[in-house]
Amino acid sequence: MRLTPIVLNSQYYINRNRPKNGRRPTRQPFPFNNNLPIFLRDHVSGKNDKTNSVACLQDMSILFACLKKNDFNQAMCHKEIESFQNCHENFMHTQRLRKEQEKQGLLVPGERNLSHRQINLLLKKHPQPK
Amino acid sequence: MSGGRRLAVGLSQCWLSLNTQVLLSRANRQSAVILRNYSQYPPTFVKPIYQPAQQKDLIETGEVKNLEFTPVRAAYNSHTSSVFHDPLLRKFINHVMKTGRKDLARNLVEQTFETIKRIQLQKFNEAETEEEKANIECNPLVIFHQAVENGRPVLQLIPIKRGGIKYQVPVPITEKRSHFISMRWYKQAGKEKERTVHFPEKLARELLAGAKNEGRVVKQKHDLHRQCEANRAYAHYRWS
Repeated sequence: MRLTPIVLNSQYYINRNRPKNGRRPTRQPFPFNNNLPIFLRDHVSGKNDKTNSVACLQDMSILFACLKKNDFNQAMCHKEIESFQNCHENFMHTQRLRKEQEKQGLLVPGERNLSHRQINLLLKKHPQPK
Repeated sequence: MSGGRRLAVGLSQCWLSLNTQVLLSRANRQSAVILRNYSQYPPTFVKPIYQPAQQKDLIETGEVKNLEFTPVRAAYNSHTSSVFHDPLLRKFINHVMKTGRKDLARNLVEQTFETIKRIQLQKFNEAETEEEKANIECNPLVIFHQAVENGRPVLQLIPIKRGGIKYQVPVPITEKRSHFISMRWYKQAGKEKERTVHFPEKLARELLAGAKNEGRVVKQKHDLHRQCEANRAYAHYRWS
C-alpha cells in the first residue's frame, strides 16, 4: 500500500505550482539513476564529423543555364565549363590538404572549425576538471 | 607451391617493415598503415618514368637530382620509350582487352587505325581543291585523341539515397574518369553492330564521327548532360 507523503506537498506541478492537497502524482517522476560518471569525457567521437559541404553549386547552375541556352553545345560554354572544372579541382585540392592536416593533428592557430582529431589533441593537453 | 611460399615470405617481410615503421613513428601510425596497401614494393620505391619527354622535363627542371638515389620500381613490359607510344592509346587497348588477350586487343585497335587511315586517304585523294585536302586529317592517332576529347562528359549522375528514394544526382567528374567514360562509350559503340560487321570497322566509323563532333558517343554525352540538367534540383544532395 502506498502512503501519502508526510509533507503534504505534492511531487508534481500544476501550472508551475505544487498543489498542497496531498494528492499523489498519477505518474511517479522518473528516477535519476547514476549510471554514467557525472563529468565530461576527455575525448569526442569522430562519428559526426562528415563535412556536409556541397561545393561549386553556383558554377554548376551557371553551366546548366549556358548549356540550355546554347542547346547543349559545349563549344559555346567553354568559359563556364573551365570555371566549373577549376572550382571542383580547387575544392578537391583543399579538401585533401585539410584531411592531411587533420590526420597529422596539426593545430592551426585561429582555426574556427576544428576536426575531432584536433579537438582531441586540445582536450588531451587541457583535460576536464574532475 | 613455391609461389605460395614466396608470397608468404613477402607478406612476413611486409609485416616486419610495417612494425618498424610503427615503432619509428608512433604518432603517424594510422597513416603508415593506410600507406602500406598490399604491394611488392615498400613505399620508398617510386614509379618509373619511362617516357623520353618526361625524362627531358625532369632533366631541364633539375628534379633528377632528387631521384638520383631513390630506388625505382621495375617497369611494366608495356612501358616503352618508343616514339609510337601513347599513354591514352595504351589505356584504350586495355579497355578493349578481354580476359587478358592483349595481343588480340592491340590487333583490333591497329586494324581500326588502318581502317581510319584508308577512309581518310580515300577522301584525301578524292578531294579536288588544295583547301579541301588541307582540311582532311590523315593521322589516325590525332583523330583518336580528338574523338576521345569530344566524347568526354563534364558531369556524371550518381545515385544517392535520401528518404528511401534513390535520386540521380549530378556531380562534377575528374579528368581521369571523364577520359575513361569516353573511351568506354567508344568501345560499347564499336560493339553494337550487325553480326556481319567487324569491330574494328565499326569502331573506326565511330571514332571518325566522334572526331567531327557527331555520332553515337557525342549524342550519348549530350543525353547525359540533358539528364544532369533535368536533375539539377537534386544537386545539393551530394555530400562532397
